[in-house]
Amino acid sequence: MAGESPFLHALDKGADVILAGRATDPAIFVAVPLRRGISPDIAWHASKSIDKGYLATTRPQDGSPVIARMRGDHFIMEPTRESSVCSVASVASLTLHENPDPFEVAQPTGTIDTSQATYEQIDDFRVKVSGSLYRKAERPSLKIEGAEFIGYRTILIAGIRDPRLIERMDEFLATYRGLIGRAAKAMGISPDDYTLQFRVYGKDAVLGAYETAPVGGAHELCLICDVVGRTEEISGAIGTRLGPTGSRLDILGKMGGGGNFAYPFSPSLIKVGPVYEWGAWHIVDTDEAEMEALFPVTVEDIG
Amino acid sequence: MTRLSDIAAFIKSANAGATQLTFDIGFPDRSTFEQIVRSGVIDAAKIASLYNIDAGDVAIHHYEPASTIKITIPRATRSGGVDERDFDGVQQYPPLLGIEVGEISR
Repeated sequence: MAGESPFLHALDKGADVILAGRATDPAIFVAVPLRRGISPDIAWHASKSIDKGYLATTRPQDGSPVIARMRGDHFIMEPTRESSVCSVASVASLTLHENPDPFEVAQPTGTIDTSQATYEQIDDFRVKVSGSLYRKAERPSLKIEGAEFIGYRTILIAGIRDPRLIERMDEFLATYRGLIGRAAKAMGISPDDYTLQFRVYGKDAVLGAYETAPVGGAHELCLICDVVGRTEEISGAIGTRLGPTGSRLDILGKMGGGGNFAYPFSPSLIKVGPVYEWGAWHIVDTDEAEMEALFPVTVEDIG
Repeated sequence: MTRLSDIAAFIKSANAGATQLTFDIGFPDRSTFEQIVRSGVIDAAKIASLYNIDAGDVAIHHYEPASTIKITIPRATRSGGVDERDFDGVQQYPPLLGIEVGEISR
């Protein structure tokens, strides 16, 4: 993910319009003020404050873009629509967004530090921000992101309404998993070649390991059986066993040949397709020369 | 007893990168924010008990300019993994709604 360097190079080469790949959001804005002589302290925090556009206003749903007017030791945030408002809270909130620490926003060449920043409402719709800092890193770094193919997914969706089964869901799933494992082995599929997950909506499907609500509160559950196989064939072969094995699994001993799974769809088995996972999400050290090589800039005249 | 959801302006969760989950609890005014901060009802031990994690894994920031308390914890699973539960992390906040906060004067 690029920082400001390629944008600065493009400006230095005379570009009027820059088409770029993935970059950090403030990097897109910061190059112009930096080249106009605005201090990095002001330019970076101001750029961070406009990179989410209308989120800097009190009513984002109005969709007002914002302007940051940068001066020597401060910047002023204002909405572009007459009825919209930038407030101290709406402007200060921007460093909260998807960021672990509101006082620090990491960038490839340094960190935006808002710990000394002050926010002042100067009239009904504008906010003045002072005391921003940009702490330059000793060495520039880059965030590397990459996805990796891990296999093919097949899912089965089933409703479960029997309160006796809901109460013993963990036991049911453990037995079910064992039976599917045995079936896979009989088909010559190694445990390393697939994953099987039970996602139980009504129990802990959303929070997973972080769920602390007591079990058994729901009167119905949605079970999603989720198979990811190394190949499409493996995924499909295990998938075909999910329905018959689970619906006929009689842990109560009282089914009399009935079924456990209320299927909303027919066919019940759904091929989801290829699955990718984050394979790389790392910060790596770099230097200016390497960044120039990684993000080459070419200028074309489209007259 | 007053619950956090009764007095907060918003309570939300989101991914903070691939390995962290962050919660923002915004208050309607500085006074409410300061009373909650002073009361100490939102601390690492409380968050740890609500999510069944270690208190040492909980970071809490009192962000005065936005009258917001930010809490950051590790993600239960790496973002976008085969065992993903909530791709954007946006439905991880409900355990916070019921935190009991005592009397708040407005």
